[in-house]
Amino acid sequence: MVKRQEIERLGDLIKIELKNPEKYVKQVEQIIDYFESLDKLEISSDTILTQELTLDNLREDKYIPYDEKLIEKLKHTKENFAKAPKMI
Amino acid sequence: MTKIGLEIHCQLTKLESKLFCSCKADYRAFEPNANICPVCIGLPGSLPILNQKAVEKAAMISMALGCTVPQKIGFFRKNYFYPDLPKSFQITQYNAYGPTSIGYDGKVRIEDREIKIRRIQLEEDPGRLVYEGSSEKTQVTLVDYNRAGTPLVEIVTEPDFETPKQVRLFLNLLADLVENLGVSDPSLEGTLRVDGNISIDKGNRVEIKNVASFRDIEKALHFEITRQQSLAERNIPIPAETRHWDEARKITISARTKEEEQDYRYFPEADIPAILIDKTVIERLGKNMPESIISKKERYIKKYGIPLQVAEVLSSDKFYSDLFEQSHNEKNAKEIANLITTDLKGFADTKEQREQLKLTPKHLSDLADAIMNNKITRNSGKIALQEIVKTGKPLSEIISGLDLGHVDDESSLVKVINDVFAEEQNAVVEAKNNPDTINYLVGKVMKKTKGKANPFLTLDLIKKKLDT
Amino acid sequence: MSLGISATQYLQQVRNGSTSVEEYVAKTLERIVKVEKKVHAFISVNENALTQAKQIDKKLKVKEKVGSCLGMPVSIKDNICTKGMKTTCASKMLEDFVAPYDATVVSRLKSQDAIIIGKANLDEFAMGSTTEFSYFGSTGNPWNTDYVPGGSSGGSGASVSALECLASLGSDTGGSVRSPASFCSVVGLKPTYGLVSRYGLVSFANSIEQIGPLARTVEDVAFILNIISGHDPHDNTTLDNGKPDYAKDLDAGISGKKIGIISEMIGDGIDKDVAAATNRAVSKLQRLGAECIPISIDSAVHSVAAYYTIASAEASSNLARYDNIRYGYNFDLEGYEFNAYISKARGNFGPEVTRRMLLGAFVLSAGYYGKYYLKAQKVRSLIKSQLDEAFKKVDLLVAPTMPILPFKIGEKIDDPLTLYLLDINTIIANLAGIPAISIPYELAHGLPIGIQFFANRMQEKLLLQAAYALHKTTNLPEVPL
Repeated sequence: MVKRQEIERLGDLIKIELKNPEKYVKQVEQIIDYFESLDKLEISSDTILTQELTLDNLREDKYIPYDEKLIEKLKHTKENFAKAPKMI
Repeated sequence: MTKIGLEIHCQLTKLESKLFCSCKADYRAFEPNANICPVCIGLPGSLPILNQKAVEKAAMISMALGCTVPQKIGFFRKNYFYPDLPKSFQITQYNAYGPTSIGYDGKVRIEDREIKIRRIQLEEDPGRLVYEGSSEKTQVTLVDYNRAGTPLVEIVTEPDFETPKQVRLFLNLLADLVENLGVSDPSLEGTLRVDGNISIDKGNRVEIKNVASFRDIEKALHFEITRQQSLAERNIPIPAETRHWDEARKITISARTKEEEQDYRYFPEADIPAILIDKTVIERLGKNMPESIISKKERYIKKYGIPLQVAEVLSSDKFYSDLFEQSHNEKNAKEIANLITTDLKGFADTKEQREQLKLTPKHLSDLADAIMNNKITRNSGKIALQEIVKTGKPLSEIISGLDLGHVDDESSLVKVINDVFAEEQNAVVEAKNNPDTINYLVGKVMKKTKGKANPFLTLDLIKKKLDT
Repeated sequence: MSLGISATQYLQQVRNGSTSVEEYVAKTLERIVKVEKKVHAFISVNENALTQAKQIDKKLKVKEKVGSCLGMPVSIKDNICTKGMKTTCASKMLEDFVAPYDATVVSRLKSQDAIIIGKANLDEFAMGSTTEFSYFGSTGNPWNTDYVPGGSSGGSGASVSALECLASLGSDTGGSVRSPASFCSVVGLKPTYGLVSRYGLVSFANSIEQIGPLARTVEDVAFILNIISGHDPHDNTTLDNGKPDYAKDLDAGISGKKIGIISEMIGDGIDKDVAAATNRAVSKLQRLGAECIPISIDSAVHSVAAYYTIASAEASSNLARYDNIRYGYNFDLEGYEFNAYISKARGNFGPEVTRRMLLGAFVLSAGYYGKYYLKAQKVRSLIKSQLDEAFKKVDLLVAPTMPILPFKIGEKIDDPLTLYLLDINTIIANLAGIPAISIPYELAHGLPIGIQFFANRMQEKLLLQAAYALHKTTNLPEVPL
């Protein structure tokens, strides 16, 4: 049973202001119920698919300066800093 | 019974580049936001690319701390929102679903205790925040992403420490260890950060965060133990919480943010495949690791007969042990070790002094040889050393320039001895009767020759003269 | 000069001088102006396209070296970064975003002198199957503009189908290249996971998605695949494919090949026109010399649940960076507290994106990880191993791409779960990381039906040969628009 409280908790967890949480309650519940079919499955194997790389195939430790002044391309800046809302 | 555990973050400042991109690992010399790229500021569409050396160095740290390095390591995402976290998640490691971090189950001996290392993980540092503005309306947070993506090794211990002193010894050992391995420079600000957790008498665990320096961690722990004990004495329950160390007031304060309640929704980082580290690679890394401090110390003692105290000081100082290695031979090792620990370290101990050192390994070996062959006295040697450190001139030039050479010439010595005998007639009489007081006369000769007289020759000549 | 030629035919015509790049591009831009009101395949059009075309003609005239694309107009799904042009992901949250760099696939195309004619419409952040969730409005199916073009790469499918470009790059997470290919009657390929670089693709479900080409013929798709595929140092998940020529031996045919018909995908719930068309396709394959046998992939029935669990989880994390602080839309941050500001800004995600992020946060929440996410990953492994088993018995698998015909815009928009179930035939390829391709096969009531082939990982050559062989037998009319 997915309740409004749960939807609000999730909304806060992912920092989304839900103007109408009620709207999502039924839909999310319906989809979670659909996911329950997974829970009923008995899968003995523990293997999970992962790609693999060997240690010697990784990036060389080299400093390469980025050739553009990225800070100028950001939306909110002050001098050379990025600007963010105040923290309490 | 007090139980203390530590969580230490160590930046791998000696790497060239960040953990997931090619920006510089050591961000300290840059203007704000001059060390960034699409990857470390999390632009849409950017992807992390793992730094091979970072994995190797982290594996070395793990091995040096007695940990097992698994044959397959993986990365996870820790999801939360904060202005210094560009992707709104940190790429880190997580062992809840099997051991996939770079090290686990290690141990270190401190005094007579065994401190278990729970795990070691490789992860990225966030950026840095500066707060600005005075009024409610104008307050903003300023973000510098230069540090975002810097490689970190997080070391988590079991709560095996009993005293703050043990913690301090461990941290010093760790700082020496990472410096010796060549992975990190602990003298740089912010390289090593420590959080502690502490409980007394099986009570609730309190976390201490925001301790800026190593010295302060011991103070913070002492304060916290005292605080908890005084609560316990009055039968007041100690709440499990996070407290921050207030550097100015030297106390811990309860933090309002309940960090332990955050739901980080850890799950595997699919942009980085699992990294296979097979046994032969681990062996090769182990073989190529710089010699450990303990091993150096034991070698200095066994092979060169260097005294314990000297060996301890020398082995735990990477800069000087490297210098020692480059300058010594079998014969003069002990003398050089002595010169370094007794004299040289005194002249050049700060970072700047070491960087500006004009002394070379050849200087040291020449000087040691000169002293051992009685070309100059140890006293003169000290003076010569100071001059070398400043000017870098060859030893021979300095000896002649400062007139430090032994006065070996018998005739000049005889003349000085005759002068002394004339001036110290009472002492001469004493010496004739009591051979133990001869050194007083030797001392006077040394003084007149500004320490340059060959002491053995001087003693010999004085004895001869006394006998006449 | 007809716009309705294939990319391959265009290259021939430019080489033999029967058309100039400028001519073709100018005609393309005219076509865009003419049909966009009804189709709305593009979010933005490249204003410099004609200039770029003229430059290529100049080079050709003086016999200077020109890349193999010879100025071919290509559309790029608007979740793939293009330097200097906006990349909005069809979202208000990236309304003003101009990437400072090209995605690897874009720079590879540009280095072969392709012309990026415009950025194609999509469901917001690639989440959807009908392109109805675009912040900038839906796209119409060129075969009947009241109908959906499929999704999420609806703009890619529609722009190729409506003759607004010769090829397109889309992205396929749960079928998002193949669904519009099927609904718009064009060819669309989802490559093996890791074959094509994702650097510059705005992440939605990063363990699953791949960029894939859409075009009017299989030959064209192979041509584009040659350019965009292969190891990329900017993407740790790319594989070394040994650089084969996917366009070579395309006409090798399928005589002697064993093809498995996935029984779970032609059962109940499938539209009868689609079923009939699939049966005809199977008969055709047999006449071409292939042996067709039924194959069961029973874990496929759990594929939609597994996919949406994993994809939502990844989405909730991949989209967490969109806080409107560094890039986004105009919303001044003075006076706001951090959490309040970002929550308010992020309230501007559309309903489907919001829904998936809530689901994603839910399945990854402390306590639920083992129940849903871990289980879903195990189902994924199971699907992969069943497919591996199947490919020991057969060379390829076949099924209809979509279980139903294209439907009217707005018809299913309020029923998210029904929309999710439309992916039932395409999703197994994404979960297992294997390549799959959709080719146009028939029309029913004027609406397109596509047939889909699957092959095992890195078997794109085989896949393309089968697709080529079957597509060659079709004789579909020109798009009515």
